[in-house]
Amino acid sequence: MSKGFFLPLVSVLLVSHLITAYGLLDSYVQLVLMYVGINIILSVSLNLINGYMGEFSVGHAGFMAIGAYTSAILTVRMFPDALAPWLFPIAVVAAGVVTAIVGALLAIPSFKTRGDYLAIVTLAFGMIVKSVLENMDSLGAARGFLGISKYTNLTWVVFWAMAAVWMVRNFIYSSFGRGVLSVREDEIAASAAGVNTRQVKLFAFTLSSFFAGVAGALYAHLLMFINPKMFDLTKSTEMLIMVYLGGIGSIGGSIVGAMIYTVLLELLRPLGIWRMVLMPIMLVLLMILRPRGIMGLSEFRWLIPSVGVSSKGAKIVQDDAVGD
Amino acid sequence: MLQLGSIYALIALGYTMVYGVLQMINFAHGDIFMLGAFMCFFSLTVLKTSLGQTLLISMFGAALLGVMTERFAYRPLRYAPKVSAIITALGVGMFLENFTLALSPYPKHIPSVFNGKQLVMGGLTMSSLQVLTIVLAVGLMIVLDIIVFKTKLGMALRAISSDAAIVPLMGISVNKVVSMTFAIGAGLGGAAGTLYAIAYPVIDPYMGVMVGWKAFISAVIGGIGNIRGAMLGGFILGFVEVFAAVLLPSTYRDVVAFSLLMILLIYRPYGLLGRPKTLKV
Amino acid sequence: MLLVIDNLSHSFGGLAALTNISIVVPEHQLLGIIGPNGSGKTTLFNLITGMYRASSGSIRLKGQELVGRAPAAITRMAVARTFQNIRLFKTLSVLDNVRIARYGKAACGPFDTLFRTGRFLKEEGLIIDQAMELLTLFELDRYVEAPAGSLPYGQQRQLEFARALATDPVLLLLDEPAAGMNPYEVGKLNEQLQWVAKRFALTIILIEHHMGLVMEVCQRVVVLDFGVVIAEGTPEEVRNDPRVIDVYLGKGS
Ligand SMILES: Nc1ncnc2c1ncn2[C@@H]1O[C@H](COP(=O)(O)OP(=O)(O)OP(=O)(O)O)[C@@H](O)[C@H]1O
Ligand SMILES: [Mg+2]
Repeated sequence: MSKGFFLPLVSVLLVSHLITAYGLLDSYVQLVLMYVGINIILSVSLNLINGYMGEFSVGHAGFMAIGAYTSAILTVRMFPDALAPWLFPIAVVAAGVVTAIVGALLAIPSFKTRGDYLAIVTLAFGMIVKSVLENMDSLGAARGFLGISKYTNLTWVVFWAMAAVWMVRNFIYSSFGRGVLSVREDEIAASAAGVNTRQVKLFAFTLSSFFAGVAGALYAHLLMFINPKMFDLTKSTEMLIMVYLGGIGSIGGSIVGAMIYTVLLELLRPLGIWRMVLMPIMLVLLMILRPRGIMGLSEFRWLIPSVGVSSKGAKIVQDDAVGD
Repeated sequence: MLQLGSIYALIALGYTMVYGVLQMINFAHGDIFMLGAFMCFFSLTVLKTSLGQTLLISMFGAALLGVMTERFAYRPLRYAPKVSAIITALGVGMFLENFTLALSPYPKHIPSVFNGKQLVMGGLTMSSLQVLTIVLAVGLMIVLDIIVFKTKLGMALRAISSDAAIVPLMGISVNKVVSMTFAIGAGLGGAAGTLYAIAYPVIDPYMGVMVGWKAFISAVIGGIGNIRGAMLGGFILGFVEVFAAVLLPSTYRDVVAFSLLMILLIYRPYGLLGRPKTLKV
Repeated sequence: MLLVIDNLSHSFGGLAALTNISIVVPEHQLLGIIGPNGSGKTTLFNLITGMYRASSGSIRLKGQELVGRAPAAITRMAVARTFQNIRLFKTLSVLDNVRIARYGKAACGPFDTLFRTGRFLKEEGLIIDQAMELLTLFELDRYVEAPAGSLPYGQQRQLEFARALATDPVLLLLDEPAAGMNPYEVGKLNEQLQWVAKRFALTIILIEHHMGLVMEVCQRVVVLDFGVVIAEGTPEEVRNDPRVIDVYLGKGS
């Protein structure tokens, strides 16, 4: 692990643990922070496909649903009650892994189709997941899955949000991960440069869906109740808004987008239904005034790893950096 | 099944026409359809219009709305990255849904305009309503087909799909063609909303989401951007859905529809009547 | 023989772009391919690099069949190319453009990448060193951090050249590298081709409309017309071949 990152990570984790353990923050504020964290995981992972790979996935809520249901089945039905709280981390990882496997399968159509048509495949995928869940009586069908314990706390959310940011960043800024961007820029040139485009797509989908599954697991054990309708198109749209609001191809953008969206939604709560009228208007205005989102294609410098040392001993830093 | 198919086809036309002209998926189109249904409700209950007047009102209302969304939300983004336009369309859709919801929080019941007369044709029993829906929908499609393939506007519309640069050379303004496209597409969506509302008389602000996606799938099945393909796709999807409901529990309808779409896309990504894009190195 | 093209044909729909082409290229040769517009030169490159699958015939590199393989697999077999219309990763930095071409050369897996292990850092450092070395060689080192799309045209061509070399090719295919260059730049390219070929022990196939360049650097020239090889030989022989003069040089270029 790079030195510059280690200390801040640990201290943030420690602070969030203290907050959880001693209730240092109002529980409503904690709840909002947890939503922010989960949304950061979702938007960062979606950005991998929609921003860095340049595809347009509309089925991310389907991945989240798979993670949520997998983890709920594990903690409620599989694990012995007494051990369930301790095994929760395993349930989260397992949820991520199961989702990642499904994500890898969904990468297969992306080998052949691109653009609008791939978008529709992901859309269809999301719809199928929801419809299948609605038809599974053993999982509560449309009524939903009840009796999930609240194992998610701020510490876990912060841990996973940082893990998502860190790993996606590590991937994106590696030579291997630059392959994802090369597919976005010019797939033909990428393959001529020796990039195994299938491998790149497979890996991006797998990593992205892993974290969507993790977010689903955290979400399920925060709400203590899940139903298929929570993971419908509206949810996917919400994630798209966070990503494009923050700016595509930017991890910092996804973080900012998730924060602004989540907090604004809470602040505007007193407006009732009019809140949901106002939000889209703001989105449209933002797109017109800043079509690339708040930080489109640029990145906070602290998020960019110094990738290595050149033969001359000079540090090489990635170029797409702005600000501090 | 022909009834559902013809409604899908009408909405699918709106998606396909806009895509043909702007290469943009107008995700708000399903909500224009929904507003068509609400205008039908308003017109029938408040204005107490006849069915014919109702249809005209919702078509014109929807057309106006379509033109306005294009003018104020999409046009400023015409030369921006494509995804910005798509996100904007999603935003416009959400706005229309929630705005309607804010004004009308409860589902509305459409008064019945028909006494359920049954018609028997060659062993097939159909209500007069079904027949009317199909006749109206097919009639509108024939009119559209004539406009697109026989008039100067239609020529410009087809020209713009293949090469936007050529249209100003024909002495037609691109903005005008785009506006007309939105007017026609949204107008058909409004008509579909009215026909749907009369057939399935409980309407709510989110009704356009699922029906809109289904119509969109229809457009894709036919080959998006292809006008006759959209009609074909609509009827195919209506057919498949109704048959799926016969063979499986009705809740599997959506699974079947979407699985069909996925399979089709993997084997024939450019739709039934579309042409594969050739890759040029 | 490094490359053996045997009875290769390709058609787009009904249009025959190449018909029964047979060419052999010995190691370390600089082979020129010339021919009028639309004679099938670029198509030949697209077939060798797997961008299109040949309708019939075979292409063998050191005895291994290339037809049917994916472009990336062919690149890994040490065949690199540039494009007639420059294809860079425009929004990515100059360094990234070269770095990507070393994709898959690092001896570390996804796990190392995700967790930034010591092995990853070492491999990554190596890749960057190699990329920097190439960029310095092509005098692009002062643009390292600039987006590739912002470079002047000439430098973009150089970068594409460097990116191709970064894949460690044995066979390099250059599609009209002198297009859009002034005589001074063509002169520089001439020198560059010769020392690059030596330094990297390359076999080069060069498509070029610029006759002077072809005549000077190529040891052998193949002339295509309407997808058929109409002449082949040393620059001297080709220049004096009446058929070539007729279809190509005769048109006053
Ligand atoms: N993807 C494609 N689809 C259809 N036809 C093609 C395609 N690529 C090339 N062609 C046709 O094949 C023929 C050969 O084209 P090619 O690009 O190989 O010519 P070229 O010799 O490279 O010409 P130039 O000197 O202009 O680059 C031309 O008639 C061209 O129109
Ligand atoms: Mg060419």
